[in-house]
Amino acid sequence: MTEHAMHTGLSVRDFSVALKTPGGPITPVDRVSIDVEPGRRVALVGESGCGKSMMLRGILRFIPPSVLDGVSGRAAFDGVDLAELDDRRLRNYRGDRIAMVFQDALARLNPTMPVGAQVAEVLTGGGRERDAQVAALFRAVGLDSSRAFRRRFPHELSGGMRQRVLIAIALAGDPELLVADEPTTALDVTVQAQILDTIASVVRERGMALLVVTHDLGVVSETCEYVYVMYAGQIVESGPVDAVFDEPGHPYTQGLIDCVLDVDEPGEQRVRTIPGVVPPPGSVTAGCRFRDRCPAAHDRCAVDPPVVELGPGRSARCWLRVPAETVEEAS
Amino acid sequence: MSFDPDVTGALAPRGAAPDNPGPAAPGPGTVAPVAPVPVPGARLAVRRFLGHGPAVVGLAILLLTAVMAIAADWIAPYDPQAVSTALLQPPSGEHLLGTDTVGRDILSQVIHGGRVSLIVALVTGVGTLVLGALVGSIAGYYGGRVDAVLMRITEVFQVIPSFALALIIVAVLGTNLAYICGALVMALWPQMARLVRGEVLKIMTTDMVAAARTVGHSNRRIIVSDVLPNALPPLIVQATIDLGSAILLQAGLAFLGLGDPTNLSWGDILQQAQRDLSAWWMSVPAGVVIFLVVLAANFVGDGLNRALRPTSSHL
Amino acid sequence: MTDEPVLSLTGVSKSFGVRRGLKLGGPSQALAVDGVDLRLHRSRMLGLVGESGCGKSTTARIALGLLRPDGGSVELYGQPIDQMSRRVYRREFRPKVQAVFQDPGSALNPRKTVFETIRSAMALYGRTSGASAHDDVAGLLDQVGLQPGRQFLARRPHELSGGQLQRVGIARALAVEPEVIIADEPVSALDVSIRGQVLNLLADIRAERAISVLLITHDLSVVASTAQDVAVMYLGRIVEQGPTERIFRSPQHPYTQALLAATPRVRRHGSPSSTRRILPGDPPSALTPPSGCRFHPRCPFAMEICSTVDPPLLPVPDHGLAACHLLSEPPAEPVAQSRRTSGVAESDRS
Ligand SMILES: Nc1ncnc2c1ncn2[C@@H]1O[C@H](COP(=O)(O)OP(=O)(O)OP(=O)(O)O)[C@@H](O)[C@H]1O
Ligand SMILES: Nc1ncnc2c1ncn2[C@@H]1O[C@H](COP(=O)(O)OP(=O)(O)O)[C@@H](O)[C@H]1O
Ligand code: SF4
Ligand code: SF4
Ligand SMILES: [Mg+2]
Ligand SMILES: [Mg+2]
Repeated sequence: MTEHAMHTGLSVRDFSVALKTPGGPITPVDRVSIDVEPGRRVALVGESGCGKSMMLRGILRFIPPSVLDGVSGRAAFDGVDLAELDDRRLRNYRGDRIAMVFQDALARLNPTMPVGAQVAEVLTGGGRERDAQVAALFRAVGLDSSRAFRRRFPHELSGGMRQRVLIAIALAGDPELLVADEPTTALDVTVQAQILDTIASVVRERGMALLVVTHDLGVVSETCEYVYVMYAGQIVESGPVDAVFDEPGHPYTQGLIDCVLDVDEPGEQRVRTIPGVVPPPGSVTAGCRFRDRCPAAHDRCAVDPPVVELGPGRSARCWLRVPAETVEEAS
Repeated sequence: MSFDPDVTGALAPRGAAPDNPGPAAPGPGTVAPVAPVPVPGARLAVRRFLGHGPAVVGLAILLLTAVMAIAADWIAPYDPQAVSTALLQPPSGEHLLGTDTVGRDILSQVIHGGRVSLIVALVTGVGTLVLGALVGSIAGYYGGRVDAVLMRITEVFQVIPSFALALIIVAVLGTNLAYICGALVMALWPQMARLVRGEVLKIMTTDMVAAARTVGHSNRRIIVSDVLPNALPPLIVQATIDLGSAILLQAGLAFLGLGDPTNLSWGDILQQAQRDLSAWWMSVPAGVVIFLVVLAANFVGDGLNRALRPTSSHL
Repeated sequence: MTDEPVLSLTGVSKSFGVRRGLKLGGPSQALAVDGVDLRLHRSRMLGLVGESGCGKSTTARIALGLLRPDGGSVELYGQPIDQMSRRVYRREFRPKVQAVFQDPGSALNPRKTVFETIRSAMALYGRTSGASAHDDVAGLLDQVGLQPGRQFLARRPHELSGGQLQRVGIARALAVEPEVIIADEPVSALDVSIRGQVLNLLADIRAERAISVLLITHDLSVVASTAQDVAVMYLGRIVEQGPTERIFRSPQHPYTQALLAATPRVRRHGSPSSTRRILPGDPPSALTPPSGCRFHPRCPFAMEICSTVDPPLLPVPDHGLAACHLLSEPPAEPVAQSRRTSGVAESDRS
């Protein structure tokens, strides 16, 4: 890794993704900026349909031309613009330096091959050494590492076990950045914890960075340092995890936190929800995109809210964070 | 070849799918417009099919052949069976494709022969689909011993090369058109049955089937209304390809003299052409149309395959 | 809970044959469910929690009558289903025990409209007829929060959001007027913002229609907030069971304690930073279940007896049921003393 003089990690600026649809192009990702510095553990949260997966796929150029209308802005890894890589170098980047675990990963296992062999396939070593590596990876992701188990086929494993096999495959390339799109949604608590802890410790040991999409705020709180909150294609809040959770700067973040169920307060209760749904990319209008669902919405919100700095490394995109006098001046 | 019923794939959240720009997932309480509902993905499938050049060409060839076969009586310049004194004439203004050894017009024979060949193909295609779907879906749905027995039977049929099997059946039963079709179905159904079984097995593991069983729907109803419709796309593709195979197999039989003498097909024309190989005009036209139609069927099959396949697979 | 259970599973077991490895004598049976007892009572919700692969879904399929257990029985009002005549099974059992699935999209036929799906279920048991079908289905959709129901009749699954699909799935279950609903991970595929809607709906159905619900989930916080009772499953067995509040506030079985400790929590306002403990060791493999207490290779309190003697599931006074030697043996091992503070464990059970 010494040949990379600059270790700046992933840096995304004003990045938009436009997709082709029969009704004209849509922009599910609208001028987002994020940074994942080496060794950082960063979370991206938001409801489904907010554009999280599209953003990751756009950055890593996983969107096929038949669907992609175009991207704009810049997405760079260690100073190299990913958009400028030719296909071969891109593949190298995606295999060795940036690994991705997909949301719909279960469909990606080969049904006719034992799971152990599928992990071995991505390793370079040979024979016994490779066998040991596979076993170690199985252990790392919390799977039974016995030979008998590694000989089983995907359909013989439960859903959770299959997802763990995929995470083992992603870790096998020893990447610098692990991008995980809801990797543990299908997993139970103990394994979520184990895997995310494993990932976290691997990240620390090797100076590897993590960008994880999840809607489990507990997971974010336990494993990440920094969080981006995405809504309808925009980043609406960002900051250090503890600061954001203690004092959310955006009503949407507050809403997500309110939905969290507390295992320490057992007892029947009405569960909180956020009414309404995320507006699909084709239907966004001027003004705050959260307006229809926001309990604090007011007249000003018909105008696009600015991104307001709330402190070191913290910002939110909401009129409530704009001091009243500056609003007067502006209008 | 898996068919994901949700054509928009895993990438797009439901309701906001790009190819279905209809009502976009309104929340509870919000009033959503009622949209007329097209069959999911039908428009997209048509668009994809038409976007695939060879498929369109193939479809055009098939349609043209069908029209020619239907309108044979009006199009053909002569009665295909009418003998004349113009024996073994090369192509000329009189006989565009020449005449055969007894003076019959080749063009007229090719036009009428298309009718026979296409009927054979169609009957065989449908027969194969029905038999294959029946055996395959019963095997896949019930599994266990039923599956084992049916699949052994299928294998027995499959180890005999399809052409040899058809040949034996026709040789034994006779060259009546109905027997020929039956023989071709016998030759082609095992592959269809295996395909259907595979699709059904895949669908059987979905919650859709578990849900239907839980509600209490009968097995027959689950197969007919939940399993088969969702297994259909690959079957349609296979059936299209079987159309081509049927034409080819039947031509092969006829070439060996096992054609229905009262209904001349393209294969029968080729068979007669054997008698005098120097008269190229007797064999080439029939050969060319067989080649074209078989190719067209495969193009259409390929196009359907592309059109009906889920979008998500390449992401 | 003295009333007769609506649905009960008694000593239910199920193993699956697994392809043998090349070496002869390799394990060939995965014991997915091993002697499980569960009772579902009228108008109560029982949460079933446990790690991936512990046998929750297999239990669900057995309870639904979709999978025949190798041993034990499933009884509806005391009547075992394997002794029911075909007719009784179809008329009496089938409509009364319904399911809600994890992925609401794949549980619905993508080619059918909401109306067709629900009408056909209703019609099976004569709960609707041609003329009133539209009103009946629309009425049911209203009841599950798809309002106005009429507007959803002509929709196909791809035109609905995940939350709406799950409501349709629930409506289909209700269409045959069940007494038991078995929901296998009904909210794991849903957004947190929508999860609450479905959980609240299930809670309402339970209360208003006096339905028993078996809620299967890997997420303890879902059970904590919605189910009155909870059963904790480990490697095919129930290890602890009882009222949710008691079990979650003072878990008696080391595995339940480990599960709770491993649950990620949102830390706010300086709440003690990560009290979470990760459960060590390999997760269980149904292929090679350990001897004695199946949890002993991972249990921080394991004693000698644990590797040889299988602890039975026994009542713990003022708590529920638990299967652990700590709760029945006199305290012998120093390793266990730290947590043997409550009087519960000393309870005399001779
Ligand atoms: N058809 C099958 N063939 C072989 N083994 C199976 C089969 N179905 C389940 N198993 C095994 O039985 C055990 C229990 O599986 P089950 O699906 O019930 O787990 P689960 O608790 O629902 O897990 P998850 O939380 O991942 O859904 C697992 O070890 C699994 O590998
Ligand atoms: N292939 C596609 N074509 C057009 N639009 C799409 C496609 N895939 C996703 N979208 C739209 O882009 C938006 C963001 O989707 P996605 O990134 O998958 O959301 P998330 O990952 O946050 O759940 C959604 O509104 C979705 O409908
Ligand atoms: S800008 Fe207005 S509508 Fe948007 S989040 Fe802030 S208060 Fe709510
Ligand atoms: S019986 Fe022993 S091993 Fe099992 S949970 Fe109790 S203390 Fe742990
Ligand atoms: Mg996503
Ligand atoms: Mg399960």
